[in-house]
Amino acid sequence: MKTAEYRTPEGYHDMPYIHVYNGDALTDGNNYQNISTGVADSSAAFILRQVMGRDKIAARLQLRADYAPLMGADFGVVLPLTYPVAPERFIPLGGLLGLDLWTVARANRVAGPVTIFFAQLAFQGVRRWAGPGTYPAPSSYEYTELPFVYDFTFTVNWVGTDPTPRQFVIPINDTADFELQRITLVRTFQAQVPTNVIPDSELKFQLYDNFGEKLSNAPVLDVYLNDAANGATHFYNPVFPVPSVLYHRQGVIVFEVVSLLTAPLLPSIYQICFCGVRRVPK
Amino acid sequence: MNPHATPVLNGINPDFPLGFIDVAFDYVYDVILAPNAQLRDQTVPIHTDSDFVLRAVVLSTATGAFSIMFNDSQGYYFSNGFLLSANFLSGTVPYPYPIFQEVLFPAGSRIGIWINDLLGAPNTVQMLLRGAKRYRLPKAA
Repeated sequence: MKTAEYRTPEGYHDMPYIHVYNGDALTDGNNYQNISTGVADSSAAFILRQVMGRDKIAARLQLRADYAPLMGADFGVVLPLTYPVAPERFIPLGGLLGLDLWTVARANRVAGPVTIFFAQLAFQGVRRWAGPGTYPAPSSYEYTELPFVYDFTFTVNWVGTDPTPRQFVIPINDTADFELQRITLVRTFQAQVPTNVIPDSELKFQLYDNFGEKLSNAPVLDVYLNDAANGATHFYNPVFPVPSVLYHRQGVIVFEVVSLLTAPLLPSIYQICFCGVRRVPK
Repeated sequence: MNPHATPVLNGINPDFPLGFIDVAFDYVYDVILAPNAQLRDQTVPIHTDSDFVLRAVVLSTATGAFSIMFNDSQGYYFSNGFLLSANFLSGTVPYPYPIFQEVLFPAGSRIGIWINDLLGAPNTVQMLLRGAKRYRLPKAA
């Protein structure tokens, strides 16, 4: 394969995006055929580059673009945690990515009578728009790049039965634009006990770009966004966003959090790091 | 491009020959090996709609250890001996095993497999033969 720097086709621009399919309402043990993944976009084409989370939803699966299978298997595939799609798969405007599932087994967390499901598949790639534009957006001044991290600590004190997302805002009080390249998340406190762990499916995040555009069709599981790793844990090897996203100086980073925690795990405190580069004016 | 991301996430420019187009596709080899079974001349048929370019092997799942050898439809073996299934793992995690240079299987041909159980008990194995279908584009009038 060529390793030359990738270029978006002339006349188009790409926006980083994750389409998710939530299978929380499915029935464990059942098989399903030709269900929609959520990758059905009426305003932009979608370029599929990575699939994550087969283990969260079923024993085997099959993907279908316009009903043609992506894998030559009669009874689905035991996909690895992260499944790169190369060459990338082009889902045209108004196209559809279908899904077959065998032996559904929804990931969940139980506390007494309460079960919180997080059976989510993630389809990572880019939305491709016709027309001029670039991602990340250009800055209006000449600059040099320096690494930088916006870190933010927040507390989750509501249980996963409450579906209402909580919004958080990080101001870019700076003279430099910020280019976001990856996200890391660590839990520092849980149920009155200090911790230092990489959370495993404890939250979902809805991210926005500089213009308030959503970067996913629904909140995304933490493990599909979290690039933090230690010797034992690096669940899905995600990097998001690709391409990176520019937040203008004096702007804000906005994100929303959905809890997947049960009552005995409250409160939990997390540190999220938005890692990238400052575009320091020359 | 994002320097932290893999080439796949950053997008890989197409490298197929003029007059063709590659579409990502996996052929899947499913087998349940009997204890200590030695299965020779297993085949994964290549569809007749297009050639197939084999670029990697991924071990999706296996109950236990096995050894395997691949060959093309001309009987050319890709190794001089059996590969242990641990070659497809990083620790206990499946890890793509790249085939470089890529191998072209003509439409209607087959990927040949010789596989041996080393578990001594029923062994359910699924392997992905990863690559791309290479379709011929219609010639301009």
